[in-house]
This record gives sequence, structure tokens and C-alpha cells, in this order.
Amino acid sequence: MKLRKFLTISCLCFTALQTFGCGPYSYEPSDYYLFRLTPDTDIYNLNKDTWDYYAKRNQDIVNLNITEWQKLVGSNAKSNDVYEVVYKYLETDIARIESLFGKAKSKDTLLRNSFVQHIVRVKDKQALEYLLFAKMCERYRGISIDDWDYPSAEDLKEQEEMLNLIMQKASTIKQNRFSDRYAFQALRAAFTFQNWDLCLKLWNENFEPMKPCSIRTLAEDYIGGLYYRKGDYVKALSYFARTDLNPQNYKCCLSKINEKFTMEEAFAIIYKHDCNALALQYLLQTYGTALETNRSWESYNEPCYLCSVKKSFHALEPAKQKQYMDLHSFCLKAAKDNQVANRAMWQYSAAFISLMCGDIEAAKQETKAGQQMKPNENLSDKLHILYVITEAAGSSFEQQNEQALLQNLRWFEQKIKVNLPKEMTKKGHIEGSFGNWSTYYYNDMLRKLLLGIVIPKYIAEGKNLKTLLLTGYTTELIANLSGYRKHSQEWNEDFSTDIFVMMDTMPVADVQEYVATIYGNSSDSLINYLSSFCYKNKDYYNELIGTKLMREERFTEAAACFEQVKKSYWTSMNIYPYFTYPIFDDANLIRRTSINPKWDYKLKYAQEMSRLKSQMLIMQPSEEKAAVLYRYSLGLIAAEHKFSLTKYGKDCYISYSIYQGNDSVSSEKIDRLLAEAGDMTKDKELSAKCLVARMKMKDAEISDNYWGDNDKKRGKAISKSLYGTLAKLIETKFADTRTFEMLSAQCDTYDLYRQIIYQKR
Amino acid sequence: MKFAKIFTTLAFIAMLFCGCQSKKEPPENGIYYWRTTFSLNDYEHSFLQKHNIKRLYLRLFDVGLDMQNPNVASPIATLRFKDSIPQNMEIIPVVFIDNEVFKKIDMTPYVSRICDRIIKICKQNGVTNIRYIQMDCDWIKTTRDQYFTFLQRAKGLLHDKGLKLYATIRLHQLSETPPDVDKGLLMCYNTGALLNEKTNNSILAASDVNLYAKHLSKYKLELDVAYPAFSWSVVFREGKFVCLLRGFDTQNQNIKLEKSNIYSVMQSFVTQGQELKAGDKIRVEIPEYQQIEKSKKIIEKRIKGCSIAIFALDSANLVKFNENEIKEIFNN
Repeated sequence: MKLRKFLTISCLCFTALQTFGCGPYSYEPSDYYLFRLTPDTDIYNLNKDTWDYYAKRNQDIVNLNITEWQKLVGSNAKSNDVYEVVYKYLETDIARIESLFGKAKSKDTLLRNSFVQHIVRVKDKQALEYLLFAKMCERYRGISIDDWDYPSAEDLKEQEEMLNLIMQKASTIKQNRFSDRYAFQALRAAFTFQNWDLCLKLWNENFEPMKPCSIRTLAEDYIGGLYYRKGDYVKALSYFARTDLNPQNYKCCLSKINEKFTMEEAFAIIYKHDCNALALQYLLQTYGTALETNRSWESYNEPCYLCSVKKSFHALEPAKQKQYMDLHSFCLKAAKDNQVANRAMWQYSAAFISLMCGDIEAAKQETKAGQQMKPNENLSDKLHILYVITEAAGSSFEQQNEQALLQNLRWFEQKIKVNLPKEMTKKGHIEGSFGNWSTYYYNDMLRKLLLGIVIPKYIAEGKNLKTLLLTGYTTELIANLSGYRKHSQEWNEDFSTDIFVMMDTMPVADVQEYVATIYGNSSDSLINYLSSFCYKNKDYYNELIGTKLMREERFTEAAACFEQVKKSYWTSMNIYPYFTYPIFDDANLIRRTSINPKWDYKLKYAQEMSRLKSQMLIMQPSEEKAAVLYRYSLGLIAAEHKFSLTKYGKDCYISYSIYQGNDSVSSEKIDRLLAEAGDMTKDKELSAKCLVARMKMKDAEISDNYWGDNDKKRGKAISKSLYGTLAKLIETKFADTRTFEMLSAQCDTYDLYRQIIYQKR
Repeated sequence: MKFAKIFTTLAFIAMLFCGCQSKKEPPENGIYYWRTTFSLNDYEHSFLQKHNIKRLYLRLFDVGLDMQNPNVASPIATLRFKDSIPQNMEIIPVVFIDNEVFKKIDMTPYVSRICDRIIKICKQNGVTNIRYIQMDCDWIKTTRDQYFTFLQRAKGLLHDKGLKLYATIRLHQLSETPPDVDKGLLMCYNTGALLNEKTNNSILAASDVNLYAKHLSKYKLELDVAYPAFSWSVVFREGKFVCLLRGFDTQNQNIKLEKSNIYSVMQSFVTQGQELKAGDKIRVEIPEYQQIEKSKKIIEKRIKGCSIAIFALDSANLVKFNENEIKEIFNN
């Protein structure tokens, strides 16, 4: 029963791959995209990786432009200085430079710039002329043309004159080092004035024949914009895909394409246009991600990730399913097309769709075929990951090859290490990199493989030690590789991790075995490998094991664990400020009070409960025993209703409903103990206290269930409930006790009860 | 003396009464111009003269969601003036507002932008002789309030500039409270279910008009009426609507006439930026004069002496009617 319980809990934890907590994390499979062709994991929800990629991409163009400038003017001026002049200087600054010709020793601040120094030294008038022209064009382009504006004839005339001026310049500049840049300014001007014919003429005559360079890329981006404005979204997409400067361009094109075309039609049209168009990669990514993130709520209850995606796929409308199957066929066809340069990409896409449909065998075979198609390194990794996942998913537990698994884990480890961002190793933590949520692809895929596929198989087989080791490894690997624990962290995430939830729900003996294993040596190479990465912190484990033992009323063993936990660890815990509930103070049942937190709160509790339990076991029925029973019950109530003792749930780290229902000691047992104590004693005050404690256990029934309008009905129901019975008893038999006096005066719940019964609202 | 007093009082009351009554404008023949470049060919010039067209409803621009930022409305397809506007007729500038904008954004800031733009365009292109501005929007129940508020504001703005507000009213909107505008134009077309493959002709069916016309007698807004003289082709694929084509050539080799106005695509081809596939059905719709005639009778039983307009001035469509038919359409 216990096994089934923790299995259910664990499976439910891991089917959604969600670790529940009030910490800063959450992670679900949809956050980790398996299917990755482009830097953007989801073109409609751009993440940090994507922005970084595009920031770098645009910076590359700027850097290229700077290098081209250096070559154009024959200067080895510092790149930063070139950047300043080309990108930052105003028209007035440029105009001043010519005045410095022949005055190389002038004290003008402009001459601090090495690029300016060069221009002045060689008297490069051509460069200056162009720069001045470009800055002027910028000024005119910068004048925003409000869509709602309707330029007058004079406005149009001025704009036309400007355009003509730019065009004239562009056409008269011959044998000039900057002629292509003049042409670029003309293109920009033509675009601003929406003169599409002119834009295309300039593109065809000047830029299309050019070799790759910064100007050509920028011009090409404008042509993408031109086709977008003209409504030819397919063509626009193909241009944007080649320049790859702004993911927003894809968003706009794809949403327009989606409006007009079905999935297959969109692919077919672009493919016909250019079977190697980069746009196809983005389309595949968009549809792949859409399929991957399409998760129905019911699918989260499936025992494993792949069962879940299969269910989600079959929950799609038949027409949509057919679309994806058609896309699958299209991908396979493209993978066989000799005209296609990147056939492996299509094969990978087809394999992915098969996986999402739940056809693991087909996915595996298709992946294998993709690996034979000479993929580049990046795609080769993606195919390898897909293969590993399909193999793990398709094998039964008995077929699992632990040596192969170990090899794969080592492969992931290397990939994660090599691809860790520098900032992460410097600071040891980047938001979202630990605490179950990582945006690093290889780490994400490792977690998906282990938590989603492999570990559920181990759980199902009852292989608890390896389950814990795999989970511990999955949680700690990236922390280990990034040096996370070498740096102090703002938030203690150790109670928000998968391994924590796993340990918290597994039998204590398994956790003890796990801890012993990670600190020991094994003959099993997989165990040794996993252990080497698992989190090592004896305070953490002793505190956790002690808490689990307390849930089973094994207070003596719990105290022994707590005794090994350092004071500094207790005071560092997030729940330390909540060590305030005065456990054995029964007045607290009626009127809430609190104490100052003490570091040995749990230890003292365990020790006291251990003492009481031992006494209970040996004592004969007597007044003393009744008092011990009562005090012991108070201790159990405190653990039942308050966190920071035996639970990590209820307003603390973990708040999912399963856990809240996870009674370590049942309320019925506490009620029996209190009833026994009440019957055993002749002390009226103690009897009254036992009744009050029992009523306290039923508190929620009054507050939560008997609220509404129909007092008569409610009154009847309450009077029949246990709370009602106990309240009646205390009113009739113990009305003369101090306890009853306090109850009547200070207990909100009792007051509410009376209001309902006696309808004094 | 007593008699004089009574007479004076009665005369005064009569004057007041006369003053209170709004004078109905004499009906004028009108026609819509809906193309994006203003340029009239000889046929169209001649048409205007022959049929004594005194009113030109001139679409200046549409208003829709911005292509790149769907949280913003922007003008679309602004009319370009290639020829100058005929001087001897009243011009009613028209702006078509896509219903989508009222679903997605708050149009309050756009009232003045739209009105100002209309006036600017007219000024800069010599469009004079304007008394009314017309707003056209196929609003629905969920956008009605926003659109009506928009019209109310526009009316205020235009009145300040000495102009009046005219709004199009569709047949299915006759059962609703009219907007607060100076005048309405009843669009007596698009009566059928365009997107339904089984519809024979969605442009005009007198039986559909008959269903809505009963609301006319209670409709508290002075209405003019417009009748259709346009055509289009509706493409279906596996029973589902694909697109509309205008000026579609039924002589295309890739299609075959199946029955009456339905063609089948025998071989895939691309036209007007659309790819038509083998198996697609094309329903060619041209308004039948008999249907217009019947609809006119139904309408005129309930509205007398209103101005008539035709949608729209395009020789390619107008040639499908003979002169007498056009004359009859305008006859009221």
C-alpha cells in the first residue's frame, strides 16, 4: 500500500515532470523543446537564448561593416573608433572633420579618435563625403511617416526631390569606393517612400550580384520587407530567412502565411520556390514546436512523457492529425530529394513527428536513417538525442542497457560542460538554470530523457535506489558542472528539486540507502558515476531523514539524525523563522500564540516526543498516562497542522493537493488518543482539554463546510457532526472548567458553531 | 381684434410646425467608386452623364488592423487620384472600417484621425462639394456599441466642421436600433450566405430582402438605398470557402462549366495570387436584374422618394446591364 502510494505520488510528480513548490521554478516538458532546428525554440515566445543569438547576429553584421570600412579606407584604426564614427557621429561631427585637414596637431577632441586621425592624415575626402551623405539620409529617413498622415503636394514634392537627389548621387558616383553604399542609401530612401519598383531595380542591379558582405545582407533585409508590404509573404519569408536578422520578421510572415495557407501548402509553395530556403527550416521549427507544445490536460496523467505526447496527438482534431501526417510524408519525401542540401534536417523532422504520434519504432528507424545522411555537428547531436530518447522509450525495463545508458549520460555530461555559458560558470547561477528549470538544451534533454522516460521505468520496477540516484544526478549535474554551490545563492533551492520530492515521497529506508550509497563506493559503474554527481550535504540529508522518521513516529531515530545537524544549518533553513508554534502549549489551540524561533526546535520536539512515546508504551492507565497521552497528542496535532515539523507541505515548499493529503499520522489516531486520555482521566480540566483538542481537529469542518445561507439546515448537519457532539458534551459536562471558559471567550470556530446552532447571526 | 389674435396665434403655431419638420432632400442618382485609383474611362464618363448621376460615393480609404502591429489601426488602400473629380456632382467621401478593429482596439483616438484625414485628402485633391461623410462597417452585435460610440463622436466632430454623417446600413442590421447619424444608406445586396457552398447567388435574392424589409417601417433613420452592379467568383474546396476572386475570366482553360453558374477546376493554376487546385468549385455571381427589380419593389413599398445608388462604377460590371435596366434601377 505504501509502495503504491509513493509510486502514485512519484508518478504523478513526474508525469507532468513538475516539481511543486512555492519556489521560483516550474518546469514542464513544454518548456524544454526537444525539436530544435533554429535558435528560436518558439518563434512566438522568444526566449533569452534567441535574443542573445540575434543580438550576436546583428553585432556580427556591424563588426563586418566595421572591417569593411577599415579595408575601404586602408586604415588599421581601432574597431571601436570606426564604430563611433560610422554609427554614432552626427552630421555636424562629420562636417567638422574636413576642417581638420592639415591640422593633425589640433587639439580638437575629434582627433582623439584613431579613425578620424587616419582620415585627416590621408585627407580622405571621398570617405567624408559619403559619411556626410549617409548621415543626411539618416536624418530624412528618421522623419517618421505617420500612416495617418496624408502628405500634401508640397510634401510629396520635397520627398521626391530628396529621393531624386539621393538617386542622382547614387547614379553619378562611379569609380568610387563607396558606390555600393550610395546605392544602399538610395535603396533605403526608395523603401521609405515605398517606391517598390525602384527598390527592386536597385537590388537587381547593385546588390544581387554582390558577394556576401554587410551591405548586401542589409539590402536583402529591405527586400524582404518590400515583399512583405506587397503581401507576398512567402517570398518575404525566404529573404528574411537568408538575412536572419530579426525573428519578428518571421513572426509576421508566418502568421500571414498561416492565414492564407495550410501547413502543407506553405511548405509546398516555398519548397517549389527554393527547396533549400532557410525559411523552410523556420517553418519546420514553428510547426514542430506547435505540435510539441500541444498538450492536453488529460495527457499529464499519463505514466510517462511519451505516452503523454501520444495522447495529446490523438486528442487533436482529425484534420489536424492528418495535416501533421501529411507533413511527415512531405519531410520524408524531401529527405530523399537529391536537390536538397540538408536532407538530414527533413529526416530529423519526420522522425520527430513520428515520435509525437507515438510511433516510436518508426521514429527510431527514421532517426537512424537521418544519422546516415551526413548531418552537420549540430544536427548530428539532435539526431543522437532523438535516437537515445526513442531507444529508451521503446525498450522495456529488462531491455534497458545500463552500460549504454552510462555511455549516453557521459555524452550528455560532455555536451553540457562544453556548452555551458561563460556567465554561468562565473556566477555559478543564472536564473532558471537550477531548481529544476534549465534553458540549456543538452541539460534539458538529459532531464527529459531521465525524468520523463527512464526513471518512471525504474519506479515501476521498484528500483528505488537507482531511481533516487538517477534523480539526484539529473538534479545536480548542471549545478555541479557550473560550480553553482561554490557561490552563495539568494534562495535555497534544495527543497524545490526533483530529488527532494523523490526523497520526500520514498520510504525512509530507501533514502537512507541512497545517502549511504552516494557517500560510499560501489562495484556498479553506473552507481559510482551517478553518485559522483549527487549532492553531498550531510546536514541536508539528516534533517530530511529525521523529518521522514518523525512522520512514522520514530522519534528516537529522528532525534539521532537531528543531533548530527549543525546549528548553522538549522538557522539557514528557509523555514527557520517559522519555528514559532508553541507545540505543547494547549492554550494555543484556542488562541494562537507564538514563540521565538530556536535552532533546536525540531530536535527538542523529536526528543520530547521520543520520551513521551516511551512512557506511553510502558505506563499503565492512570492520571499520569492520560497526561502523557494528551501531551503526545498535542505534539501530533502540531505536526499534523503545522509545517516545519513533519511536513514540507501546507503553506511551505510544496503545495500540491496530493501532498496535502499525505497524512503522516492520521487524524483518527490522534482523536483516538485524545478520547482515550479523556476517558482515562478524572481531572475535569484535562478532560475538557482533550475535548477541545478533538474539536480543534474538526475545526475545518465548521469553517469550510458550513458556510452559506440556510442556517437551519446547516445547524442540523453540524449538530450531527463530531464537532457538534463534542461541543455539546463540553457544554453539558464541562461548562464549569477554565478550558470551557476560554473556548467560549476566544475560539472563533466555537463562536461560529454557536451562531449557526442558535442562529444568532 | 379677437379674431386677429386667434389668427396670429394659429399662424405662429403653423410656422413653428413647419419649422420643426425636416425637409426631405430631393432624391438624387448616385454611384459608388470603389477602386484604389481614381480614373474614369470613356464608358464610365458617359455613364455618369447618361444617367444623370449627381452623387458620387467615393471610397477614400479603408481602416484595418496594422499589418505589423495588430494593436493599432491604420489606413489601408488609400485612393490615388489619377484623374480629377468631376465638378458637377456632390461627392460623398466614404471610409470602410473593418469590423475587426472594433473587436480588438479602442477606436476613440481614431475618430479625429479618420475625419481629419478625410478632409485633408479632399482638400489636397480638389474634392469639393461635400456635405456628407459616409462610414461603412459591417458591424455585428458584439461590436455595435463600440461602432455606434465611434459614429456619435464622428458626428460631433463633423458637425463642427459643417458636415453631416452618413452611415451604411445592412439589411440584417434593420432589426437593430439605428446609429446616431444624420442619414443611412441601405445596402440592398450581399443578402445570401457567401460562405455556404449551397448558396446560388449571395449578392442578391429578393426573397432574402423580403425577410428583412418588414423592419423598414419602424426604422427610425432616413434611408437611401443602394443596389448591386458588381460581380465576383467564390471558390470552394471540399465544401469550404477558399477565397473571392474579382474579374475572374470564365474562359480560363483550366476550368469547366458544371451547371448554371458553377465551374470546376480541372487543373491547378494560380490566379490573382491564389492557387486553385483541381477539384475546386467556383461559383460565379452576377446580380440578376429581375432580382434587383423585385427587391426594389419590396423596398419602395416601405420607403418613398429616397435617393438610389448603384454599387459600383466599373464598366466591366455595368456593361452586363442594358440601359433600360439601369434607368429602371434609378427610377423612383
